[in-house]
Amino acid sequence: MLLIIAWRNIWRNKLRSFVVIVSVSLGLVGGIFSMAMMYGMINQRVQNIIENEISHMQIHHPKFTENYEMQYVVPNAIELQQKLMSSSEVEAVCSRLRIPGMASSAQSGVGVMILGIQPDEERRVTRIHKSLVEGSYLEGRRNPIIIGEKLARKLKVRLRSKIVLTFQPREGELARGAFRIVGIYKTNNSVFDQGQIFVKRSDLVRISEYQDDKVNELALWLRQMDTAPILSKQFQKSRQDIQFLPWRKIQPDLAMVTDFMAEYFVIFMSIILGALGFAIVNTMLMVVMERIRELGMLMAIGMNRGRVFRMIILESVFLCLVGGIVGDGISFVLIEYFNHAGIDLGLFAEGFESWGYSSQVYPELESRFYFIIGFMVVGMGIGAAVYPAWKVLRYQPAKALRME
Amino acid sequence: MAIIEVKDIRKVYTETKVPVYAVNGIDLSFEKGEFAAIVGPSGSGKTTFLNILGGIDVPSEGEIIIDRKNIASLSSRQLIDFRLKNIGFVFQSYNLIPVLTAIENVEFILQLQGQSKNERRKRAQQLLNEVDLGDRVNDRPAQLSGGQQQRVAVARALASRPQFVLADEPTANLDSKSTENLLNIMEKLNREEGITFIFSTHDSRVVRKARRVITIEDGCVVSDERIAPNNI
Repeated sequence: MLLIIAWRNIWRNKLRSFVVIVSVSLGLVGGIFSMAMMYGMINQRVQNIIENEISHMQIHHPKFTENYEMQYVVPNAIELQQKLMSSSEVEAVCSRLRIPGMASSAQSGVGVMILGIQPDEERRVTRIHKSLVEGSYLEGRRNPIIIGEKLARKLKVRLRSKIVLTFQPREGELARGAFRIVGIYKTNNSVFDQGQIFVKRSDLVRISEYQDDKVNELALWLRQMDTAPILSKQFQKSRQDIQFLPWRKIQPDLAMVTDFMAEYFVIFMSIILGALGFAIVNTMLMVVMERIRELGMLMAIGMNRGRVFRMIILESVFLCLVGGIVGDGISFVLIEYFNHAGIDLGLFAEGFESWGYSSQVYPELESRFYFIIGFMVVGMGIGAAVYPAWKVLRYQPAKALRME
Repeated sequence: MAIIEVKDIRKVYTETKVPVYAVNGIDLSFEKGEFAAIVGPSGSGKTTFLNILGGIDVPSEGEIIIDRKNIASLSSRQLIDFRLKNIGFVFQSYNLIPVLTAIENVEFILQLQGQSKNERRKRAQQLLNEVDLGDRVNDRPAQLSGGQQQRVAVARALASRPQFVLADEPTANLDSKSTENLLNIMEKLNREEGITFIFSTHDSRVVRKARRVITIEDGCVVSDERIAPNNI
């Protein structure tokens, strides 16, 4: 019967309860939606970086990533590529030649990372071909090149312009080649767009005057992204002479952010609920002090203090839970809607893209967070009622009955 | 045989500069089946005495022996349990839980005692029938008149089959007709079932029905008369 009494008690003053419920709901909607936006932005960033930049896993010579020197190749790369393709966990593998260099036009020169690719392999591992805003994807012509839109602006070039790439194929030597721009791409990462250019690997090998094909990077696209850490360890056991790097090791800062999203969510919502909790303390104080004679009567007729305490706690919990359910419900609807429609923050596009984030945000939130909110709201309800309940229980029944 | 024995009960309030003796040495005993009224002017100590008798206030000195226990020495927790099982209360106001129906209010005491749902419902219905509210069991207090609410309070007070019922100014907020109805019911329960009622009252209508009138002034008993009720 305590449950019934507590539930009915919260509706004795409908207006006051409505105000509390709306406060809790709006607070939750604000917090949950903000978190969903952040979660969506980070997940999109992870997706973009994997699809455009690093893929699920990369394989290098152990010394390669120190200075990106061309001499540090992946031994037996083609054989390894075929072996990896035979794994059921691997969807696609592409081979690359990656080297830092300089891109120059008549007007300007910029340091870049040159990626020599096999176009047909590459399109199965990255989505750069879908990011083209002008031109085509390394088709046909001798020495075709794809560059980012920001780099094109910096070099003051456009489609069909020629630029010169300069790089160091071996110690003490420089190689130089002219390339014609056949495609311009744009991703959500303007730093990437300015720094990364794509050419055919065969063209790079030819300009470098190597006798045979060179591969210093293999990039993998897995069937399940989450298997990257386990697979890298498994593959590593079979080849100690090369490095298998899952995306989390290539971008540890991003991995850390995704790992700590749950903890960050709890901290952020705790702050919001803590502030809301003070409002509920005030409300519950009013609720119990208004009913001090009634509570005195209950204690007089034989309701022990533990039950009175539990009843007050339950009232607060029910109040908060209703607000929590409404808040969760509204948040869910809003998140679902904007997850499909997106939120256009184009006004801040330049700023977002300089950090690698899209200005078109699609909020999202895992279901478990709604349950976490439920528990936190119950905790808030309990916490907010402790002081008011304690205050009332200090009264002796006779004194409570005498109160006005 | 006395069901309640009060020995030299005193209650002193020391919050003020000069101590206030709300109850100043009362010795009384009550037999089973009594219909007693405690009267006195405002501030005489009758409500304080009633509260001490019911264990909802603690005396500064003295003993109250009920069922061979000195309840003045019981802890707060023990007192609550004792009250639940042995004493029924009817207050002047705020008697009922506003969000429960009449029958739920009566069942409430029985649930506190741990009785099953069927037993509770059966007993509650029976008691409400006895106070002539058998057809209003599902009404909430706000839907009942003052007199009807007090009758539900009487039914609730009797639910746990207490040794006695304490009623503190139960008719204070009632009109004459409601008062008459309420007193008739209490008198009937007293006469037919031997339930002990002890009132604290200003109301002469209650005094006229009582078979014992104890007058308190300045915290002391000034008279204790056993009289025949004027019920012709």
